[in-house]
Amino acid sequence: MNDLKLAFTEALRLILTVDAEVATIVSASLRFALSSTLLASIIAIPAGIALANARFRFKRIVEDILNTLLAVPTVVVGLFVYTLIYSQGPLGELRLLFSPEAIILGQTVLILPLVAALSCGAVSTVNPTVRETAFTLGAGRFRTILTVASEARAALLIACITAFGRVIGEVGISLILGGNIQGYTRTITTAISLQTSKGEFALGLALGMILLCAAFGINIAARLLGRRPL
Amino acid sequence: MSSGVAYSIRSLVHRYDGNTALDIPHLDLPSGRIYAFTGPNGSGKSTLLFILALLIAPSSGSVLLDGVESIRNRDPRLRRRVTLIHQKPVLFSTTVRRNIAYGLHAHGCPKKEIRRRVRTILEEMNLSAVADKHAAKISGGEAQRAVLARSLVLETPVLLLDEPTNSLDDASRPILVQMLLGAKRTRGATIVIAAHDSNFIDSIADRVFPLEEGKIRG
Repeated sequence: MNDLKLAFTEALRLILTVDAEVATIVSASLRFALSSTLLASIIAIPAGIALANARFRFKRIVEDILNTLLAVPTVVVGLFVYTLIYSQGPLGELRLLFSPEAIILGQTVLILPLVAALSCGAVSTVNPTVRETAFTLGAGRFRTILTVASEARAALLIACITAFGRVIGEVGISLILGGNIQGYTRTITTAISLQTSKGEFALGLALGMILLCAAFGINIAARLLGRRPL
Repeated sequence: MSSGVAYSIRSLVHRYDGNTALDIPHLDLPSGRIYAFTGPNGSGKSTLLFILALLIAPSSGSVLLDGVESIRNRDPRLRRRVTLIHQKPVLFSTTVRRNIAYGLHAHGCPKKEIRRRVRTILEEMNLSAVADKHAAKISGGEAQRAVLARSLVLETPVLLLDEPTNSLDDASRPILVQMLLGAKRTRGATIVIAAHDSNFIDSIADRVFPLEEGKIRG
């Protein structure tokens, strides 16, 4: 109990004094998570919108595949990307393994289906009258799709925030593809994992508290975005 | 493009799940007049308006708009000759001004012209004070007038209104009548209304078509 108290005190000290190692780890985590969220959003939001607007025979199957991919564990995604980028893999020549780019790539792959599925769902729930109104006001297909997407923009933003929350808290991809290299690919979650295995709780607790605050902030942002007209 | 007849309907049949929702063998609607289709719910009024607005294609038949076949016609120029006000209209999640300018942008109007026309209709519809408010923050009556303004500002040759008085408050009703009569008189617009409200129809329509189970009676 006393050890835990000491660890908490030390963790708070590390946060309040903006410890250099904590700052480096948090900054790397944020950088990777923001980059992968941005990349995934650029690819998956248009894909999700296109899927919502598309009419084709196997649409339900595509949606089912997307929903299945949401449940894939991060270590499986990490392993999949590892097989692509390790030295003998098809992308081995790019020498991405154990680099920030590898983590960003893995995290992007992880949240692509999530952002696409949430975007598709967001656009599908827009009142059909919006589409008909845009059409009867003379909008072409592209402008109509943009208008419908614009009506779902709060939900699309929530999709991005949810994806960010997913990657900032993942450990499997960062560990497998990043290698937990200090000052380079060490993230909040891999650092917590390492510190815990060493029996040194203070740094892990400090990072855990920061992660918890980030998750709290993400939830607040999602709730506020969900209720106000943008 | 104009042939003096806004719509020529021939052998129009539309079916939902095997049931005939609309069956109009022959109907011409000359331009520059106000027509009303009346009838109970399910009589086919809205379906007819959706077909006339090019929103849905009928099961069979032909609908000429200004002499051009409109069914499955993807020419945006033809589509932009018509605008429809829905029975339960929605305003987009943006300001009133942007809502009203939306169709003008879609029609490719020059920016200066858009500003001028939006300003004019805002004044005519008594909406200038709320022009820059978000559509979700205005009153019900203002929203109804904004919906009308958004369609009327386009000055399309054909205007379709699905139960327009359903969503209108008493104060906005005379504005609607005035605007529709003005569109007919000054621009020769053809106006087609689907409605229950016989008082409103009697005050405005040149010709009334009672619809019953998808067929025109009388």
